[in-house]
Amino acid sequence: MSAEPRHNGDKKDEGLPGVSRGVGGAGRVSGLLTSGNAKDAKGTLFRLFKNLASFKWIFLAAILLTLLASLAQIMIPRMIGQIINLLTGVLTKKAVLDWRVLGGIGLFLLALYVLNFVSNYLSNVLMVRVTQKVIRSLRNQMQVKLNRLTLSYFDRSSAGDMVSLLSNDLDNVANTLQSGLTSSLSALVLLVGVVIMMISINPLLAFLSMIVIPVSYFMVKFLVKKAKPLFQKNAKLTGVFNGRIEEAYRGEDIVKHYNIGDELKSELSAINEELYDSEWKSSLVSFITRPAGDLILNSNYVLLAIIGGRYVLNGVLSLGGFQAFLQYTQMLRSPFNQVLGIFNTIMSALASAERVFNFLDADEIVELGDENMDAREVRGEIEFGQVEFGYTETLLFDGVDLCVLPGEQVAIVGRTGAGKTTLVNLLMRFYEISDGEISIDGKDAKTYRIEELRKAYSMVLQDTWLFSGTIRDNIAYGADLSDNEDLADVDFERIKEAAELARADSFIERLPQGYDTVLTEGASNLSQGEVQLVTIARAMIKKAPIIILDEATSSVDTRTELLIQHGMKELAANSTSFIIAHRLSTIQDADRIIVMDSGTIVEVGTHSELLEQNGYYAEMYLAGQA
Amino acid sequence: MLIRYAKKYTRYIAGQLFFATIWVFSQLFIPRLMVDIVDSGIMAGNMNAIVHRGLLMLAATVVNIVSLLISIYFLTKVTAGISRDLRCDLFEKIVDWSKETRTGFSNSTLITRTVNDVKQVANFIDLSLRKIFTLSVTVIGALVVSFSLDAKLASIILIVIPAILVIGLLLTTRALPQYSRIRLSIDRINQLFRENIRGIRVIRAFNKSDYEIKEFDKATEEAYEASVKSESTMMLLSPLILLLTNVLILIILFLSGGRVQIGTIKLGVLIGLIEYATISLNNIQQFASIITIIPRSKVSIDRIAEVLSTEEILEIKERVLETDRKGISFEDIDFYYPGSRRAALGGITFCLRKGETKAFIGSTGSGKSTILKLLLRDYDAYRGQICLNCNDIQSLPREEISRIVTFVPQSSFLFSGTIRENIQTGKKDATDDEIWEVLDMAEMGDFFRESQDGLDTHIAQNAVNLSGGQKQRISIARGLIRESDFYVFDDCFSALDYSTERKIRQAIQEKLADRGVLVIAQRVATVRHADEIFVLDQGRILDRGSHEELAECSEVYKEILASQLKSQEGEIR
Repeated sequence: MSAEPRHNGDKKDEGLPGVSRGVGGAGRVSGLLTSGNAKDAKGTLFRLFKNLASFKWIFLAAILLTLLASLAQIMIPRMIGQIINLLTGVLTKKAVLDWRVLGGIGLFLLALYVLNFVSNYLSNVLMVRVTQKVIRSLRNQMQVKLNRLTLSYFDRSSAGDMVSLLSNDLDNVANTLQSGLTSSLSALVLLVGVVIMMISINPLLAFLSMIVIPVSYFMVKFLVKKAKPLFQKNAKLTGVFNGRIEEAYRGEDIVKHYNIGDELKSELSAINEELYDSEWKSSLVSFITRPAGDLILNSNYVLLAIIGGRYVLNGVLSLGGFQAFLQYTQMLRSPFNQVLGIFNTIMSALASAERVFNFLDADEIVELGDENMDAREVRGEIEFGQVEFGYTETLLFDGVDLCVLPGEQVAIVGRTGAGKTTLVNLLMRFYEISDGEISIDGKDAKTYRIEELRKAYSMVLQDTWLFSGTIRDNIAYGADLSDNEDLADVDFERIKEAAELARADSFIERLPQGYDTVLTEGASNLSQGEVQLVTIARAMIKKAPIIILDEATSSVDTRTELLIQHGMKELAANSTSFIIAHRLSTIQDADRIIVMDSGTIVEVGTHSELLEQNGYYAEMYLAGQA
Repeated sequence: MLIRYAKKYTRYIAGQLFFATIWVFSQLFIPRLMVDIVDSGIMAGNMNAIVHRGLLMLAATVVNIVSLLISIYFLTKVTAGISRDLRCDLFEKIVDWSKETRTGFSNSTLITRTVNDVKQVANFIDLSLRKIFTLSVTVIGALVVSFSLDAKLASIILIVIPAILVIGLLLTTRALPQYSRIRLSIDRINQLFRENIRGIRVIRAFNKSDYEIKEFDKATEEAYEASVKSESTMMLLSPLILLLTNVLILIILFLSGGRVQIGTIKLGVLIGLIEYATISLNNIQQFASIITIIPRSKVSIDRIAEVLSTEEILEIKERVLETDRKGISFEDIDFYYPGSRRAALGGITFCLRKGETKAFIGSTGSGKSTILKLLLRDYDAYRGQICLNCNDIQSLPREEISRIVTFVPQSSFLFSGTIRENIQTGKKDATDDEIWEVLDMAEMGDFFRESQDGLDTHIAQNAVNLSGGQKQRISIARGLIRESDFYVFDDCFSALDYSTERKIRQAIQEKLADRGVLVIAQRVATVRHADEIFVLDQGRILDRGSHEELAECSEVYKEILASQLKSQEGEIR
């Protein structure tokens, strides 16, 4: 076992922030479920061992114990054979049974049994502890990594693929580590040991019993190959059925109120019937492989019984040897398949491990500054100076200038893709600018630690994410927590107050469980507008000097939207606020309106000023497009 | 519940059990023949007997395989058949449920029940018919043969079996609670991770990374502890049973040692006994580990049974005397959502005749959509009467309600398939010309005319290849192709810009001039031309009247107007 870091993970120091570069091997996050082989099997193996390094003695002990257990198991039939021989002697030669010899063998057998039991159990227990620890640490590493990744990584990868890393790949590694390694090892030892024993009993019989195993293996393999199209068809039909069922249930309004229920039912029934057909056929085929293998093994057993019996008659073989031999033949069955499977198992585990490691190697956020911030002292003056930024190599912002005064309410408008949300992303330092400067109260934002900087902002994102849990906890989530505080420690008064400000209180109170209503994943039990109100309440509870609303009320009616804005103005009269709106109607009272188009600020002014200019804003306004 | 489903397959099940029994007996016959090979062949020095028994063994092997194949054939038919019947009954039931009956079942749980739970039940049937049955028959058979060989020695096996069973059950019952702990914690780990990805911006915006890491660590710790606990227990099972088996064999060997000397036992019998002891203990062990799966299947069975036993709550009542209330009429309606404390609607009264257009306007959560849900009888009102064309709505079958009222929903759900198929959900035999007509009315005609595949353009699952506005327009077209007395539009213009909305609204007005139209909206522009507008707030109609009247005297309407009016100047001019 080597502790050398031999993996090829490119440990690059992040160059220019904001300029997206190819991320390690994480580019290939798609298609994770294909159990392709590891590209760099050796490197991955070393890396995996490195993770295990602190447990290497336990590992060694487990392997040693497995070896012991297997050796004991190999010896057992031989010893029983000796007892049989002893008894045969008594029977045929009418000799007196030597109880001391029998007792001796018996004690030795008992010792073997206990040795087998103890070492088997101990090695299993050791392996369970080690692998569970390793898996826990890998899981935690992945989650910590998640919170350190740059947002561009999330832009490039699908959530499903990342979850599959955690749920499938890590599981695969865990299973292989936990049982795969030791059981394959013991299978290998058993295989070799049993073969040696068989040869030592009778080489010819040993040879006979062995040629049949590969034959049965290839026969099974052949059957499996033949069955593959059946399985594929079954998998496909299952997919079709599931998709149709999902649509039938989700589209209940249309199904019921357009009277297509009966039609749909007969369509589903037809698919269901097809599914039934392919289901029983494919499961029949998958069952057949076993009897087919059994047939060969069993007839071989019969063959051995006849030939072996003849040998015993001729005196070539002792009866005890004969009996032991037959037991060894049985013992051969499972380890052989296991040993054949071990290569595939390990390769697929390595491929999984490599994908996990690639994820762990992906680009992280780089802290540029280390200063702390006292959010209460922030006045909220913000300045963009010649800011340059692009999500890819091409710049979206090519020298943006903007100055916002403390307490000013600024609205940002523009078409989809104009760069409104980007402006906010840069303020929050979700992405780092590639050139220029963004300053708060005259100080470069980069000098602060990222978390410190974000204390100054209270934000409602376009992306209305609520976690599954109670509404109460979801609102409390916005509050600043100290290290040992929990969501439950946030005062209910504060939560209720925030909800009232967000105009969410009345609908929450009308829910069956009120604030304790549990939101399902994706908050599907609330309407889109209600979800938005809760996210606003979540932002309201955090009283920050700068407020950002990114299309926070797109699904809320205009009257409620205005009420919320007025409430906010009272609450945060001194706060600087940025409002990105998709409706022009609700931002007309803003102190300043910034009009953006393809990454540039094209117009700035109040509503009436902009209308007078009769430019881009006026055009948008009159077309009623926004 | 399963027994009811199994009845249909009685013959298959009987066949499976019969051939499985043959399979077990032929399996058990082979060691028995070995006993003879040793005793009457080898020990007696009779080669013929060896070959004779050997050939019998071969025959037994063939019978063994054939019976196994036949029993598996029956088995797969039964499991696949019952799965099919369960799925069929489930979706037939669920598709017909009203929303009220469906309360408490989310779509995802219904899908899980129809797909995954049925699979679990299939596993359970497979286990009980194949594994549990053959295991028990094998153990009993092995014991019977052992007793016939040597009753005294065989009785030792009989003593050990309950011991093993007890150990197995003890260990599994200790590990079982841990299994559900593991499952729960793994679910939580995956959920937290998934949510962390989805909510990454929110988490960063609120500086909650440390909090999330802490929560995740708790979950992984829980998974670690539960896994170690359950595995350490379960890992004891198979080595322990192996140990017991071995000790049993040792005891048999020792006891027979003395008897060999006095000649009361033959060697073949001894070898046979060892073999049968191994077989029975092996099977008992498998039995003990299979039992752990049963509680899991029980959960699935219960979940399916819950769906199947949930009957439609909304009954169709006897046709009462016809009223004189034509069209749609709501009479003093109160409504609570199931389990809710606060009224969603209170004292709603209005009517709509053919040829009229009426509209509801109100804030998010004011109860607008709820009115439509009652009109479509997704739920029954708590108090009051709803009439449809002179009939109490509770006396009408759903098909008839749907024939009278066309509903265009807020969430524009489209099926995967072609655009033609989607529009045809509204009218089964709609011609291409009719489809183009309604697509044009919904301002979507040009979009598909320019598309390469025209009406054959494929719509992906969840219509991910269309924007929200496009989906709404297709949904409107799908509604317009239907023939009915009344059309209700549930806020389905919200994702459209004002000019598109105006064009669509004009087209609708023309086509549906002699029908009744009910519109629900948040925008004044959508409702202002209606004959009567109802201002809804907190489940009550605050004001009613024409746009001009309300603009004059309704406070809430004025507020709504103020929040929107300016931006619509372009349109109003």
